[in-house]
Amino acid sequence: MLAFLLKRLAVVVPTFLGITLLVFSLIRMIPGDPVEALSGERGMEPERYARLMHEFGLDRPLPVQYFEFVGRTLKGDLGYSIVSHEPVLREFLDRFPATLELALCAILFAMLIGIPAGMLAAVKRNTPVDYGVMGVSLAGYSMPIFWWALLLILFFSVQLGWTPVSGRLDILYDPPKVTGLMLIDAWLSGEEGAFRSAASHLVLPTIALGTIPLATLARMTRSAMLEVLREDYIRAARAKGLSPFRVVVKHALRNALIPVVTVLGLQVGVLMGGAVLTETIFAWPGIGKWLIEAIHRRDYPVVQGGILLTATLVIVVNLVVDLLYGVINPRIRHPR
Amino acid sequence: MALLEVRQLRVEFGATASPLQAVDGLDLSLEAGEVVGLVGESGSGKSVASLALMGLVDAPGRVSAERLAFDGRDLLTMRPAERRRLLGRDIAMIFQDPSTSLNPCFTIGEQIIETLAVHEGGSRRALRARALELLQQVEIPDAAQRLDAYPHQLSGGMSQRVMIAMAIACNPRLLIADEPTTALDVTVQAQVLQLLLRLQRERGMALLLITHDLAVVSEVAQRVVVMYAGQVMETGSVPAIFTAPQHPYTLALLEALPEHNRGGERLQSLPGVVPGQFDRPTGCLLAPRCRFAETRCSTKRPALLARGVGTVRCHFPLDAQGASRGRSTEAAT
Repeated sequence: MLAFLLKRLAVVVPTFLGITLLVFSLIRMIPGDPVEALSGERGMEPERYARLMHEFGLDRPLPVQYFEFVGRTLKGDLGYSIVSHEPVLREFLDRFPATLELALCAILFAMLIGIPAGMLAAVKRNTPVDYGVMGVSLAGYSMPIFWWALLLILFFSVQLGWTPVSGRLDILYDPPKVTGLMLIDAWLSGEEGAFRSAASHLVLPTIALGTIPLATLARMTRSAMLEVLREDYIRAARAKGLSPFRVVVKHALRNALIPVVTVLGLQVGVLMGGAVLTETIFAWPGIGKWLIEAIHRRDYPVVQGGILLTATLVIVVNLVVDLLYGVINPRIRHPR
Repeated sequence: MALLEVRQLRVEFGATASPLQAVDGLDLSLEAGEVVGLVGESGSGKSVASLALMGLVDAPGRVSAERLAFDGRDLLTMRPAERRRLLGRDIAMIFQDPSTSLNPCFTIGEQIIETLAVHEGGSRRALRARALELLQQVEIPDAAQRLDAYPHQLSGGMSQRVMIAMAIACNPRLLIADEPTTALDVTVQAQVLQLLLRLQRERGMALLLITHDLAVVSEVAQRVVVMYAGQVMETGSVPAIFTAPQHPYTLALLEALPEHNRGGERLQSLPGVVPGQFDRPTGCLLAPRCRFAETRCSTKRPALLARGVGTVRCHFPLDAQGASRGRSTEAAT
């Protein structure tokens, strides 16, 4: 187990360096620079432009800039936003709870519907139920998030008026910030209607963001289940006189979850990518929206630091998932 | 009244127009406490028949029978939940490959306790004590520690002992053992078989032992049912079948035993394979492989008829010397 963990950690180092290089070069490939973006439409005198570029250290050769970025990052310093002059880390931490809340809701939504749907499809294989679940999940998987989100808004918010169009909370409420998770803060505030407002603001973004992971989980669960249901121990469990429900939910699901958990870990990456789109469309004040704005303003430190932190998160979650195998699969936890 | 009565059991797979007849009219009966060997080579329908008895053949497989009764109760008309209550409690089964028949995600204690909990219930502590007792009865060393072991930590022989413990947990009256020793090392096979027989005698269980190993059957069974291509070819008491087989197929199985080939250079074998879905003969199913076959054998399928102390499905059954009387009777008619 320890050797396994060390091996996984060894892979993290080159991955991390690769990300720094990628994020550093990609943002600089976009035409324009932070100073130009700051100066607005009327532009700026060349002397002032040069002075500002020098001030931000952007006039030095790229390799120098890169190594300084990596060196500072390794010391835990992600720099300051060129636009707001706030530390990147603080800006990230301010917005992270909003994204976390959305992502957690989306993944929960995906798991609570996707895994049972996949199980149902596997048990009812080659029946209309199976075709229905697989058809809907293929449609969900293929639906671009921005399009799906707009359709949801048009139908549920505009047409039916059931949910708000954007934001995290009605402006009538202002719960004190405790956890940063609006659902919990609104609930803690005890203000009447605050929790309801927070929840109704979450519904559509959750569905928009959770649909692709849901579809992936449903399909993965189905195929894992189909494989497990053919196993001898399933037949043996039935021969013990267990009910079909117990056989499927206890004996089959536990084994089928092993590949499903892997996919779940990979979905975190998908989720962070989807959050950028979802947050932009629903004006959700999280990491995704913050990064998009930073890209528009060529706020190099924010883009670099923000993406690096997000990537780190994805790496850490996948590491945790690898450790979770042991909990689910006793063959890893208890070697011979 | 027999403990288990099976009449004209059929199991079919595939299209209704041209199905694969895995079991084609099996008749079988078992008395309480009796040990019956069900033998036949691979593909003869032994395992499918046993699964059909358990009600574990899934769609698209189709099971039908004139009668399928356990202890006088009709299994075919029984509600599924009612039939499940019999499984694991009154009728238990042991499978061929113990290493894949135990769920890798649960401890063996948990898997034994589950059977007890479903059928009998009781406190967790009491069930655990009974599971421990069962492991001791199947002669597992360090039973107390093994209770919390996972299947992958056990050897094949140990796993099969666990499967046996699980099967006998609720004192079943009928135990179906499908090739219980085939997947085990030769050295362990005898031990597991001895254990199975000891438990059978102690508890007075009926045992349906499915195997392709006639040597095993000769040691343990009172009666033998020989299956080929889904049909019963011959039934009889163990001594009768082993000393004077009436069906050429039984004879071929006996001749293939290494014990019958001492000094010989090669083991005798029956050429060919069991017919499949599309090459099923119209006459006797064995005709294409039978060295005694006559013209009638390939045109008319013989019925299973009583002859001597057993039954045999052959137009020209063998006499005590192991020779077909076919030619002589054919000449006389």
